Amino acid sequence: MTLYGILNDKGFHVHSIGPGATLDEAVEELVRFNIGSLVVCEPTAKGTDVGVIGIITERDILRAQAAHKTPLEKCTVASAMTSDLISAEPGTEIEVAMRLMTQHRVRHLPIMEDEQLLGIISIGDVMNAQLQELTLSTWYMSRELSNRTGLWT
Amino acid sequence: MFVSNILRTKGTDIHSTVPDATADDVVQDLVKYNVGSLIVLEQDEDGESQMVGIITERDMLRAQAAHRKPLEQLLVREVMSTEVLTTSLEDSLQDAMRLMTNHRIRHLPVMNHGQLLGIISIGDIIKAHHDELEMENHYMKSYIQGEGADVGTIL
Repeated sequence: MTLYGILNDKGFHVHSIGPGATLDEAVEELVRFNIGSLVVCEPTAKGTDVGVIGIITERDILRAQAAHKTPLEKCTVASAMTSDLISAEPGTEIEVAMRLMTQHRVRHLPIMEDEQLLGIISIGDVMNAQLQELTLSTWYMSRELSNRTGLWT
Repeated sequence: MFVSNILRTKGTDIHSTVPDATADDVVQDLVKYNVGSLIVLEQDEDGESQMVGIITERDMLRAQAAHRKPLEQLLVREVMSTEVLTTSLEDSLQDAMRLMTNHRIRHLPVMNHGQLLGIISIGDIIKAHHDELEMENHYMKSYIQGEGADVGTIL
């Protein structure tokens, strides 16, 4: 299964925020939508297009709080975000996404196509997809076994 | 694969806190240990440590959005989740995955006969699953290559 398949199931919407927003605004967005990250976008020189310049996660916010001890409303998203993005493409296999998440200890992968943001996949989405696949293969295997043995019918 | 397999690989370390610690203490610990949750332990009358809750990154953000108080003025007992979903050693990986997906949680304390043995996270499960797939892939490859070699010898 590719990441495009997961995106197709969960939808392509991405929650984003601007670099100049404050961390307490970021917290409000994360809590309101019950999500773990926001993609940081900035309008490009061309105007309407938006460029992805980073990602800000729950972990980033807590890390900033632990380090600075300044109130959230005094910190900008730009000061706390991760700008070295670990991203994937829609054609990336789910196994590769699992490896990326494990190796880099990240829980969100922005999905980029031709330098455009197509969607975002979280570790929860990956697990959900794996679970569905496992459930399906268990079902097929038990059907196959019952066909062969006449048991469990 | 079972929860016990994951615990064997990752170890039984538990990062914990107490109900009267502040949210500030929690943030420091989460960041220091690079973990997403702490188990909240309290001593009962017999002096035994009992799990009374769990506190996660999400809880910390939610509390800050709701209370708007400085972290030093928020206590763990006000912020923690007290209804803790758990798993046990003999549960399958699939059971643990289903529990996490259905309840949208990322951490499951592992219990054995009422005793806390460790904790597994969604990251641990994804890692285990990935390792398992890689192993399967390796075996399939060597099986196919082995068969190819046999065919080669016969021919």
